Amino acid sequence: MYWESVVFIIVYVFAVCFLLAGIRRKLKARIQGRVGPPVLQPFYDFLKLLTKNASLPKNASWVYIYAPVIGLSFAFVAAVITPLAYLGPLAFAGDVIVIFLLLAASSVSLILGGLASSNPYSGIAASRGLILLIGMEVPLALFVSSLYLATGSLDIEGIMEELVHQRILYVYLAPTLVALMVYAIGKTWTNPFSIPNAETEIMEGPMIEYSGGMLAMAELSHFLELYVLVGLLADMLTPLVISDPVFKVASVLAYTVILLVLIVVMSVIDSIFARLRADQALKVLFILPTILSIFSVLSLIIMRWML
Amino acid sequence: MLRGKILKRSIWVYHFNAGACNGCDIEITASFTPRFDAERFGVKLVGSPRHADVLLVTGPVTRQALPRLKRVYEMMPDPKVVVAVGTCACSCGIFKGGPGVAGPLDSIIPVDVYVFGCPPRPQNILKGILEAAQKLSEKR
Repeated sequence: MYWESVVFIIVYVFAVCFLLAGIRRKLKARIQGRVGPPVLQPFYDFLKLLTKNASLPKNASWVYIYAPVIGLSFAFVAAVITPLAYLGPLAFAGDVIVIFLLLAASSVSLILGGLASSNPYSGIAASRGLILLIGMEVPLALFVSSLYLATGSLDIEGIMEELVHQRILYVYLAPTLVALMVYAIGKTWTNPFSIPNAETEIMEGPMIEYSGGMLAMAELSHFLELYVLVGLLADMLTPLVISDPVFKVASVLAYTVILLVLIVVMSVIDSIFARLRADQALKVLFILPTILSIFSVLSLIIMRWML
Repeated sequence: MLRGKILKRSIWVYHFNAGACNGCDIEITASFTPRFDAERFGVKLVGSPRHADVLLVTGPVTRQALPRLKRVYEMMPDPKVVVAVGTCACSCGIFKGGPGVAGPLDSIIPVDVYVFGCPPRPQNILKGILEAAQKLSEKR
């Protein structure tokens, strides 16, 4: 049963991360009044990139060559240890912190790879990406502490179990969950915060010099990153729908539905907002989640103190 | 076989202006707008020749553009195809024999598809890109 569920999670992660990216592109096209690409388009793009020969820049260093593999492996580990609702064979104590750490490591290695390609566009993209990444660290510490204050645990399964028993916690955690959504939008570089991969200003972001299989791996790690961030939110929201951890199959289904709803919200935000300026994006991405999570933390502390 | 099918489903296009008057470039931009919706065929305009499968070249290839064009062509990963967009790129048009002109395009790099017109209509450009994708899938 254990190994079956591990294999199931790996298959699910790969299938769903491509589907989520495809649904995002399709929805964005539909909102703009276009027919849009097929939902499997990211999968076709991925396969095509794998079949192409790579063309390397003249002065490519080893950082440039190995960065996509390293970034993909961090993102893959993060995606696999994220439990599918109550089905989490690879979950362990403190995995909330480890998942965020792995995501940061994945983004940093991809950015460093772009920086090592010595293209001026990817240099700008890398500096913007790192600035956003650093700006989002303070709110991150606040989300994790508000989750800990609310539920007394730092592993996702423990958090979900506590949320099942005390639904009232959602009232206190609501600002944190909204802040986590803003964080997910910022971290995946989607529209109001698409500063590092702004197509019209700096072309394709840090990935500009990559080609063939290396680009495919970088793209896949971006898809996995999106899946992990939305999946964490879906994990937090599943206890609202499924009230008992015994219902594993039903919880996975509910988790998938919540994932899809969150992706729809993200695509709508992606298509109705324009891109912010780099300094504005940093301000919004730093201040909005910070205020929301401070609100959560304070209300939780007051609640604890009153009891 | 499978490889050819996949290459046909996902076509990334890089656009290179080799001294065109901007007429063809405006029509290329138009063919990627929601009205013509190139993305439904999996066609995407990319910002780097290293991501591209199809190179769209406009203009009669001036002497200034010549070394850059060669470099961009070399940067594209195999398999790759080239589409000449507009009369200038196909045959140099009225600029033929001009002192600053090094073209036409097919005397410099191998051209797979020609799209005539001054400027060609967006429908024609899209058709050219899809024909190029067909050629791409037959290439080894």
